[in-house]
Amino acid sequence: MAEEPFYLEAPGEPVAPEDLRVPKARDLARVLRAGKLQYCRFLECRRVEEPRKAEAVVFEVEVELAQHLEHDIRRREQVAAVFREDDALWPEALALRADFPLVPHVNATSSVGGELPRSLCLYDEPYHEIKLSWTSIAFIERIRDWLARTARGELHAEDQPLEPLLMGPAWSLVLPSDPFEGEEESPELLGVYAVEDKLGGYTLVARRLADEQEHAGLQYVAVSVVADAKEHGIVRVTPTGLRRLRDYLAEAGMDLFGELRERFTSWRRSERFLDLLEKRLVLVVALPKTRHAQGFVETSEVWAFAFMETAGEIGERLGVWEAVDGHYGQVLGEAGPDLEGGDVDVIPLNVSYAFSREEAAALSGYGNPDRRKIVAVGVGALGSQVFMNLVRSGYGEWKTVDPDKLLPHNLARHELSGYAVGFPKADALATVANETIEGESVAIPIVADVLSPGERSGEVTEALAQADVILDASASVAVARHLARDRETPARRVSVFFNPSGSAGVMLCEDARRASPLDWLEMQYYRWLISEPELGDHLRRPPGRIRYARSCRDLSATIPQDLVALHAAVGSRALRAALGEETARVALWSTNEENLGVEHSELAPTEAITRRVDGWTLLTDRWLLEKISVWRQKKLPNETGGVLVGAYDMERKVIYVVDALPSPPDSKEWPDLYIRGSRSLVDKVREVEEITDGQLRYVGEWHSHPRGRGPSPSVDDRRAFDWLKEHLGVEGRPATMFIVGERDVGTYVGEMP
Amino acid sequence: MAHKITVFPEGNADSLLVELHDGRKLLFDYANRHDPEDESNRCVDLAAALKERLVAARRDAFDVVAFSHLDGDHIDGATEFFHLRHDPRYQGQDRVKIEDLWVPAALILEEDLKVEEAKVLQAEARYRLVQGRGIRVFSRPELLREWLRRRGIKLEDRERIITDAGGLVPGFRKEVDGVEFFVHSPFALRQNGELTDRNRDSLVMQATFNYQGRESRLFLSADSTHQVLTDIVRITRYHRNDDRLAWDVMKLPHHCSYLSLSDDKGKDVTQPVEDVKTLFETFGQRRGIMVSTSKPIPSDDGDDQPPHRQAANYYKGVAHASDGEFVVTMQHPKPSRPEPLVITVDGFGARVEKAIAAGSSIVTSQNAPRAGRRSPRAG
Repeated sequence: MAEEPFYLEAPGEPVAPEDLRVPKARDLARVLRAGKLQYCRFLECRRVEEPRKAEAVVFEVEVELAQHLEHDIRRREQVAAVFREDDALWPEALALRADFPLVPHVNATSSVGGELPRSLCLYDEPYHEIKLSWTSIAFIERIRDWLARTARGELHAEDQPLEPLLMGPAWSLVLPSDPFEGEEESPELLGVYAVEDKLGGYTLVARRLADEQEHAGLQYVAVSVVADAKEHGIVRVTPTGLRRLRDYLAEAGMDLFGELRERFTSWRRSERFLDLLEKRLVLVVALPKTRHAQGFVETSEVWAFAFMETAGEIGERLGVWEAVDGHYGQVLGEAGPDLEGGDVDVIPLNVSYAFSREEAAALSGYGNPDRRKIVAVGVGALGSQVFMNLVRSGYGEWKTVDPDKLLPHNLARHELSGYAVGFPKADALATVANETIEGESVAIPIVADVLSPGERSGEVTEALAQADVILDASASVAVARHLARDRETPARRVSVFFNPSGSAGVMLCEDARRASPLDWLEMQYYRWLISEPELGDHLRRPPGRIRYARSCRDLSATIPQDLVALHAAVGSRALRAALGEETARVALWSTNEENLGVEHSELAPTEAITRRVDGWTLLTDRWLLEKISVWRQKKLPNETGGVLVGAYDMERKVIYVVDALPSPPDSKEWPDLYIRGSRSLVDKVREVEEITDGQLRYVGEWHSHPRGRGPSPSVDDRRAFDWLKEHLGVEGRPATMFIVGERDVGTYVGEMP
Repeated sequence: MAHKITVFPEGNADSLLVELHDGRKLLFDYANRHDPEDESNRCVDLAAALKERLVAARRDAFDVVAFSHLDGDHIDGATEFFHLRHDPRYQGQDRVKIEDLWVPAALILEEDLKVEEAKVLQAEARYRLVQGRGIRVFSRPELLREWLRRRGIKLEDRERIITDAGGLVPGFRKEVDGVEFFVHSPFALRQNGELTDRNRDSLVMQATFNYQGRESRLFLSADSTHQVLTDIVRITRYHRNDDRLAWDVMKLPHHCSYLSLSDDKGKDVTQPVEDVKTLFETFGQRRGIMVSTSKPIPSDDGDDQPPHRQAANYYKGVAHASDGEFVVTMQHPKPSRPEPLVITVDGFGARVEKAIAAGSSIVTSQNAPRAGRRSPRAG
């Protein structure tokens, strides 16, 4: 049995329970005095006048005590609950036992000042949240739970970060994510800018000093020192003076004044640092911490302090030099062990770290950053937002390619803000990305039009050649086709865009082998639109929306930012997923504009069959050839046929044969003859054109040969082909005819052999 | 999940449930003293409480049910609660099955039982022993040879389900199962040719729990007298098995009777005989928990029956000296409303769960008082 404990007196003067005025204090006293609760016993009430008006209720709790304890918590503990009259902060729980141990989650000082009685740190939620569900019983249980867990050493869940050694200051310091990476003998100096927080505090932002030019604008300069390893979790009183800090660090095996003298002396020797003596000093101390006394170093706790005196003044008081006519001269002889004059005030700083690429990935729930090289072509509304979504999650090493500058009307939907009006989008966006992610740049801008890069041609070509991925967010079919067909690079091409009404987002992603190139994915997307009745309105333009150009990926429409953000959110996630797999993807997300539901649909893309004939490149696929073969089978022994739909790229002389329409009802189908009819055909073709916004059109004819016959053209076939040539040739388009034979399909473009 | 020991408040009667970290459930004695007709009866409805725990675990059986002996304060109501294999009258959907029944040899051998409930349980144990399945008998094997022979069974064919004192119960290894059971009684010394005395031939065991390397021990002392305890201490120490006497949780013998400590009740404190004193003061661990499965401790000596305040005072002294606890089931957490006593056994040893029950947590854990308009008496 432990010795009978000695209890400290609770703050304030005794007062009758009936005379309590603070409602929460009254209620706690009432609950305790009713005597209906187990494991707690009322002792007394008190009124506190200093440092601020408060009332205290003193009681004893019985702790759910295990047999084997990590910390010396007793079966019975006396607690004073102190309630501020203004109820502005959590009621404080003071453990009154005189030898109550110094354990984790104890506040550095209590409201009555000093380390004793110990003030239990009960809550990590803001008080205004806790107030909502406040009951006296829950408060008592919180205290009992705190004591029971602390006894078992369980209050630190294993995955929780370690206790900060110093608590509660209002000033903050932002350090680089790897502040102690510098050379061992002299850790780097950091330049510090001060940002006022308008609440009476400052945030000091520290950066590595690249060159002396940077010294001018600095308010502070930071030096860092590293102490020996120390067991974690014991919060001490925050040092408020340099001497006290020295004493505390002495426990961690550090001679602080000696360290500082050494630093200052080395500055003094180097001309480069002389002007820094005029800056106020920030001291950064790394304390490697272990979870248990003999454990391995788990984290390095970092403290930082700001001084109101300059480095030069502190150096002078440490006897490193003397100020003579505003210049610091070296003191001859040994410096004394102490600080000259009164103590130097220190302001403790809350330390946080710059947002690194690793942090970006971790905070987004992705283990590691992904460093694949991505060229973003087009960083407009959708592109800029997809880009930043991915950057913020540590994804990609980027080049941003865009010729446009940010104009006021862009602000409706662009990632950039009004600060960037007039700047090239590619430039400004790369700057935002690089300012967001600390360290090596994540984005390099190339202000150029990928279609006519001019003097940037070499840069663009090199970027595309080295890329792992080319992200086309240009909202331009021409750019997509250019990237698909004109650029020699193994990079996977991906397009993201939304439809003219803004109701649906689309992603076309090549497979890793590029067997389904981007332009062929585009064609399949159109084929999908004409085959799926629900997608019939997909490319329909909403009436009354502003149109700058006729394009099915019209960007400058009156689409609200929330829809763009939605498609950007879907797009960045989908992109990440698609690039994580090898296969090609054609996916579409439709938003219901009334209830804002998003529905995903997906096509299984086919590989392209490419043939070069008569100066033209023909692209089609097995899917289409099989479709017309099946129609032949069904009509045997008769011949059958119909028209082909697809698209021309007149610039590159590419013909895409995408789909076939069935034989019109007035066609003549005999075992050795087929005359394609025309009933409703004009309407059918017009429907295809309407659904695809003119992207798919009539491109030629197909018909079948009877049983046992191959696809070689007959005399009649040649005559029909000549008829096609005559009509299509007027438009500069080649005649195209597919003939389905017994075993294969003949594809004739331009000329018949 | 930690191991859990639950002791039910059933007046002067024993019912202790062990729930292992892997979900296995072992019940030591079943005595349901709840009486819905009697408003002053504060015993928990054991049948309902146990079923609630089984339903929560989606089980319809206990892995082990042990009966230390056949007295009412260890078996009351058992034949209404359990599914018994030997007789279809004790079978049915809502009855709880017993995978393995643990009994001392006396429970098989005893003749001329007077109480019907004891007879039925004996029939069940005998049936299982004859079948050779779902039972473990604690005895010197030789003692059962004749009984088995009369039923045409060779002792050798049943030896694997018979465990002698001084050994471990097969099937439980503390490293793997998180618990092992050491058998203290019944022991041969007392069984040889002597008259059967239930409290001497009761099942007394020590369970050693292992949780992540931390060992905690539960001592199940049945209704042992100080003579039996003395024998146990002496035999165990003679065999240098001292650690088998250690306890972190002690189910106190015989509802806090002074006779488990000494023949001399003492004026205010019973002074135990030497070996029993050793059991409590030397083998009891720091912050150990003593559980008296009994009615509240009386303030006077008006009742001859246990619990006896003098014995309680001795235990309180032991608790004080070891920073331990002395808990009376019918007083926990308070006499006006006893609740099952729950002891968590984990890496920090054993501890009594102590949540403040108040407010809405109370409201939802019991029936609401009658509400609504009562129907008019007539018309």
